[in-house]
Amino acid sequence: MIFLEDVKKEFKGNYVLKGINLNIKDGEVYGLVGRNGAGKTTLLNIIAGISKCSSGTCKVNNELKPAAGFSYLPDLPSFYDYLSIDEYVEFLLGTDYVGEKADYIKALEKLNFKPSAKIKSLSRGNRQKLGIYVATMKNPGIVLLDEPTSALDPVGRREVMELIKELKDGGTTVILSTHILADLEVVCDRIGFLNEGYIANEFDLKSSAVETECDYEMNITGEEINDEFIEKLNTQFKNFTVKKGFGVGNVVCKPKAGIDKNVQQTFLDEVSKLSCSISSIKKVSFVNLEELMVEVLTK
Amino acid sequence: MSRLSLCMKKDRIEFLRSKKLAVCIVFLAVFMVFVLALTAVIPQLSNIVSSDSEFITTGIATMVEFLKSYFPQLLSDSTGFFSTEIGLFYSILVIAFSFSVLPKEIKSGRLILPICNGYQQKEIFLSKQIVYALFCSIPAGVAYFLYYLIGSTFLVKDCTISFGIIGALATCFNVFSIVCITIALSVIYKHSVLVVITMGLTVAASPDLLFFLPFGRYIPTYILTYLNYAEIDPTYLIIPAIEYAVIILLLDIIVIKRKFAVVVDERR
Repeated sequence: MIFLEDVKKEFKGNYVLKGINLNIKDGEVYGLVGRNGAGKTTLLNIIAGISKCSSGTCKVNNELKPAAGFSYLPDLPSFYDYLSIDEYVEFLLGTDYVGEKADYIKALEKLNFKPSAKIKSLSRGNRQKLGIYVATMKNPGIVLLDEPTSALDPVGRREVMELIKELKDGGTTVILSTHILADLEVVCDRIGFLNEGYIANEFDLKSSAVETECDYEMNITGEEINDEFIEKLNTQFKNFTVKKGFGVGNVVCKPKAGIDKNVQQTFLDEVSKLSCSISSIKKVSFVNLEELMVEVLTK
Repeated sequence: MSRLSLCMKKDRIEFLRSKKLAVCIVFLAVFMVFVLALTAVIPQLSNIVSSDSEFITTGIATMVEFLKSYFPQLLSDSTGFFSTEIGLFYSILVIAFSFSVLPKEIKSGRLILPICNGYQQKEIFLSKQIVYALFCSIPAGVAYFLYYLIGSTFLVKDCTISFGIIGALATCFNVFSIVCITIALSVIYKHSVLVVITMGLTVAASPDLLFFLPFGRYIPTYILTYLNYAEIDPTYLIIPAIEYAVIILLLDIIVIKRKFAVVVDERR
């Protein structure tokens, strides 16, 4: 659990954080949103224990200092550039690396990394991807991610979102700071808007009170979800726009305008006409965060 | 492997791959060849440059005598000169290598992931200090001893091999201490430029100033200046060495107790 009470941070007489109160439960994915310079990184630094708050209390798992099982990925991860990727992983893992070296090498190769490649040869996006990998490779209980997808291409972003989903499923608490609101919509349980040194608003994305839009996610087995298949589904689903979703076999069906009433029944009717095998159907409710953010931060 | 040895392995790779060791070796080799060559050539100058004019011959002889005082023909004096010059010029090079190495890592946030993975500031600091100090100092000691061996083939040999070994160790220890102090100060001081000023003045200016003080010869930076007399009076070597050790120990205790910042915690 992460608990902050009246946390303030002052820089040369200016208060960047003026009184943050936050309570994040175990296993929760919390999104932190705010304008540039709002203090998101400062807040994460305080939670990570690498920066001290000027006043207030910050506790992680009832401890004033983050203990083991804690990981933090800064917005622009910096590495020891002269090391190769596997040397860096070995340095971070220490003795844990020796017995499971083959597994780590395999995981790196899966992420399209050549373990012997020098870190300085990596592109910005790949450095970010490596940062996410090393920050999560020890299965920490709490992960802080500061703008983890800012330099990633859409495929990379999708992979990171998948990873956060996996962390969430494994019970990891995640704090995610990003400007890419679509990412938050996909993975977060709750989001907080940081404005003028305070958490201006918090929204529970599971709550129907903020639900403004609703999609359906299906998991299809026995089919390759390629462009051709998506096009075929789009012709069959007259009232929905079908897109590839996160994860293997997942497709997202977005209702077209004009079917606001009884969307679920319309969806189920159209699903019943499909010939492919469907293993699960999930209703995905989300808010349009961009609209919400503009409304909260500009009022 | 302990975390300290993992850190040292990482720093060793960094020192080697950033070609700092190569620069140290090349610098010392060029410096050694230059001093040895001049020391060998100077006594022959009057024979090489011959002239019928008595005025010119006298002038050359005077110049040769003058240069001989700078490039002495006695092995003990010549190695002493070499080590003193290393103490100045090579020290400036190693200060340049080490004054910003940890501040840069703090500023870039490079320490965040290692700290999150269980490393402590003291391990990161001690590793950097040990690796940089060893890699900078061992080549200096080796260069001194090589200088002694080569010099003994053509200079007036007035000292034993133990003199060469002690001199090499003292040179090595002097550079080791300078690097240790530089790295410790770099995390104690807020601005790296202050480290350069402090250490620059210590190695370049303080020996000349302290020469006039009665206790000047016992100041750490004089460890190489009186190296030649160490065989007669070991205190010339022992007292500065102990002082160096005490200074390093005190600075290290300050760094370890205070714990340096992992990130730069200030906004412009």
